[in-house]
Amino acid sequence: MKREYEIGFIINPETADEEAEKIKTSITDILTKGNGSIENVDDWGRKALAYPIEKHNEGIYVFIKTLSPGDVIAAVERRLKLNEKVMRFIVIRLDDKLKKTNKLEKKWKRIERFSRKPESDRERQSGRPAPVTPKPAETVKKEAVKEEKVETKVEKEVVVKEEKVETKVEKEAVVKEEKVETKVEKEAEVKEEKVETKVEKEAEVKEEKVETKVEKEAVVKEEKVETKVEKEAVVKEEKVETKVEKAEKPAEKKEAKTIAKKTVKKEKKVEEEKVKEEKTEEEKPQKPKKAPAKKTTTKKEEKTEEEVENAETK
Amino acid sequence: MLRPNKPSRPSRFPKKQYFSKKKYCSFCKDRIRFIDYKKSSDLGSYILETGKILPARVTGTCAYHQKQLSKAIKQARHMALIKFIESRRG
Repeated sequence: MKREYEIGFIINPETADEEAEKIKTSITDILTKGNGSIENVDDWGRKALAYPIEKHNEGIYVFIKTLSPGDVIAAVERRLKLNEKVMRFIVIRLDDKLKKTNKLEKKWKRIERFSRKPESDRERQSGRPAPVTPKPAETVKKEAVKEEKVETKVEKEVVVKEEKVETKVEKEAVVKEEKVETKVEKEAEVKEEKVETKVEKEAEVKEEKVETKVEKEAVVKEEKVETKVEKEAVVKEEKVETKVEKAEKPAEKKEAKTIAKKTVKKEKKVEEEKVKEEKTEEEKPQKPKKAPAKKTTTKKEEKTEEEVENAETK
Repeated sequence: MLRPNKPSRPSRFPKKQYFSKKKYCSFCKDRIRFIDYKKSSDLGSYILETGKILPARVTGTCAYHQKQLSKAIKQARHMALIKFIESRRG
């Protein structure tokens, strides 16, 4: 049964180097004869001692590592004890310490597991959200940009249409007043009436176009129903004003007693066209989100028509 | 024996709270299997100036390494690598 030992001893510094080597070789011979193998020999040479031993401040240090049976080590210890030139010696068994390291390794493995896990968790935590977070940020930015663009477009369109409607209304009013005056004065009825009807039809057509545009925009921008409703209300109020003006003008014509019947017939046709428009409007907003907003607008138009009829009767 | 922490009464002379880094076993950190008594320079940090062995509660070494340390220091003393007692001045 071989075991790993380390033998260390201090030789008296007064001895010569040859004698010191003799002592060394004698010990190694004992080890080798007893089926022991010498693994390593450390010669430190002369070295200062930490404290004086036998009134010597120096010593020759020698360390021998061996793999040998215990009986041989006992013989070596006896030889070292009897030798007068060896001041101190020590024999250490290294197997004992190596056996106990198994526990240490288990402990270290545990420490490694606990020390590695948090690092990996941190990497995962830092890695997982890192690719996820920037994407939504970009998309949000894009959405924000789109919303801003949409808003700007809506505002521009609203402004442009309001201006157009106002201009149309003003022009129509001016044209019709002038025409009414000319009719009353000249009583050259037929051609002018045709012109009036054409003008009115054109105006109505334009209004229809405007309404269709507004509806298309509403289809595109389903989210902003409230704003559209407000716009539509504004547009229709303006239309109502125009209709009232139109209704007042034929009344003036009746008073002038120009060829009223033809105009009335044409007005009726115009009203029929309006009714058709309403129907088209009712048909279009079959989509669920826009239905409530436009029903209110249609009701308003009906009310306005009643007002127009009252004006005609007056 | 886990008890819920009771709100402690404020004492007239409160203890001073010292904050320090958590101690750890430097031998475990370096993965040293056994401590060699020949390396007296490594043992020097675990000895007082007077030559006394520092306790584990001060240095933070684990029990396994503290046992080896104390043995290695004693062996080094025997081999005249470390002084038993450092002479005090005065």
